[in-house]
Amino acid sequence: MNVITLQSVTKAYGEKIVLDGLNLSIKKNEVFGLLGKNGAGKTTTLECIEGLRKVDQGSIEVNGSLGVQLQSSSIPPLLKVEEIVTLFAKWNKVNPDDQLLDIMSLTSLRKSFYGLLSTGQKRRVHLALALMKNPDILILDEPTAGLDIEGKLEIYELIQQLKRDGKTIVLSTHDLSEVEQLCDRVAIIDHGKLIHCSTVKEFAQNHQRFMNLHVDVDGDLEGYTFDQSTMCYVISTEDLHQTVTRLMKEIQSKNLRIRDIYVKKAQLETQFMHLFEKEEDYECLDV
Amino acid sequence: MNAWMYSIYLQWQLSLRSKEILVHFYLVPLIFYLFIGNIFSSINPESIHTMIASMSIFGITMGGILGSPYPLVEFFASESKKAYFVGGIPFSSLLLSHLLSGLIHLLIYSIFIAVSAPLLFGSPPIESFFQFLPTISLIIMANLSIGMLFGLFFTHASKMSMATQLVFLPSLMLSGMMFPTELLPKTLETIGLFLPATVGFSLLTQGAMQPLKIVYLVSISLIAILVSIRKTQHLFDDQ
Repeated sequence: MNVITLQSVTKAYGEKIVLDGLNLSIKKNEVFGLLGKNGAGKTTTLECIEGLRKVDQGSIEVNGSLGVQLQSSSIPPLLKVEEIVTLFAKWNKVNPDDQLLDIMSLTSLRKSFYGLLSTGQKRRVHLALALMKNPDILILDEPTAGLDIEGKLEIYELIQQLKRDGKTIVLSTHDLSEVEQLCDRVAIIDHGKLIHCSTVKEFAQNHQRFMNLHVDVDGDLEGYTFDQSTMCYVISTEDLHQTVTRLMKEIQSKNLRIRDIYVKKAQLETQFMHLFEKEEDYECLDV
Repeated sequence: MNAWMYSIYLQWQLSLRSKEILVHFYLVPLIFYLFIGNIFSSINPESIHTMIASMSIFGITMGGILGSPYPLVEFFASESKKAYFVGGIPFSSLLLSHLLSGLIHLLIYSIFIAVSAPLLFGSPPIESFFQFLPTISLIIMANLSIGMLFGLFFTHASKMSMATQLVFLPSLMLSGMMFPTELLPKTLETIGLFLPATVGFSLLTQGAMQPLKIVYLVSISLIAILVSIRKTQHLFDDQ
């Protein structure tokens, strides 16, 4: 069952077309990842779903109540956390939920001014506001941007718990490890068009023709990318045979000695980047 | 307390925490009042007769036109408006609580002037507070409503601040609060007639029973409020 359906949605800001006939369906109780480069149309897509923007053409159908955590929202800085929660609760006709504040680790911050909170604490406040109405669908626009590892893990745990509770979660993010870890399906938007939509597993399998060749040598290999984390040169390639042959010739000509060499399947991030580099190879899919 | 009442209460709390409100609604007008009160009453002893009216109108114009738009610019130029929208909080509640909070602050200021001027400078006391309070409330609402337009139509505090001077400075010079308007060139005197400060000063000094002037201030307030509501209904259309 689809809880959100976008049909041929078009949206322009002046002359600039931001969404160009976008079709998208989001199923009940899935964590749906929305990916795309900056300016691809992710936030506009979410804001159209949330009702913040009116679409120029097409339609959006939402079946269920929405809870929204915006990407860069703020609250007047001189309001206290408990005042914000009470204000939003009163307008939504719900009781301020102490348990929710506990879950979001906000209890000790009740008397704190919003303007003095850290980025992570502010995000938790907005997440608490989004969850206040116990919505069926939760829209999270880059919920972990600017958070430290601990903060990210807390949000990941919460998202997984919300899924277990039967919520549908739409997640916009730049972080592909987040998609791999949390999402059931992923859609990729570029220039306001859907260029890919599948399960995360399918996406990784379909596009996993890229391999990363890691080479450690006792000298410099000019023109190749050196990866500080593995202390190796890393070459991403579709044609392993040709790349290895060429590399060996180069290593021999420079009289270098190989200390280590291994091949790994490229991470989702690499696949994602190649998808954009070669987007003309892909048809726009209507899902 | 229901949502509307809580919004008004919260806006009042916010205004008490705001430096801009403190400066524009109380600090500067009161310092100006004490300073000018002493100077004017020394230079021109007759000025004590219009002291309450002129200093009330000065503070109301300063608070309403210069001070009150700041929190609105901060709110509507930021992402806060999105958070409120998706959180189901109507912008009309924000506008209403903004107006009521400003009204209370400026009433406090005006009452302080009305009570203190006879004691400090020997001004004739207010004859009837029952007439003074509704009149002053109407003048405050007209100024706050105009200030609300500045707060909604400008997205930068610096530009808004410059634009508000276009109303504030003429109000100061052309309304009669600083010197009689008869001394002004005819053109400027005519321009000054349209300023809420001039109309307000006239109501306070020449009696409140001037229906045309009352209708004028009510109209300004209503038009400004309606335009503001309309603006908030289309906040996301042109972005």
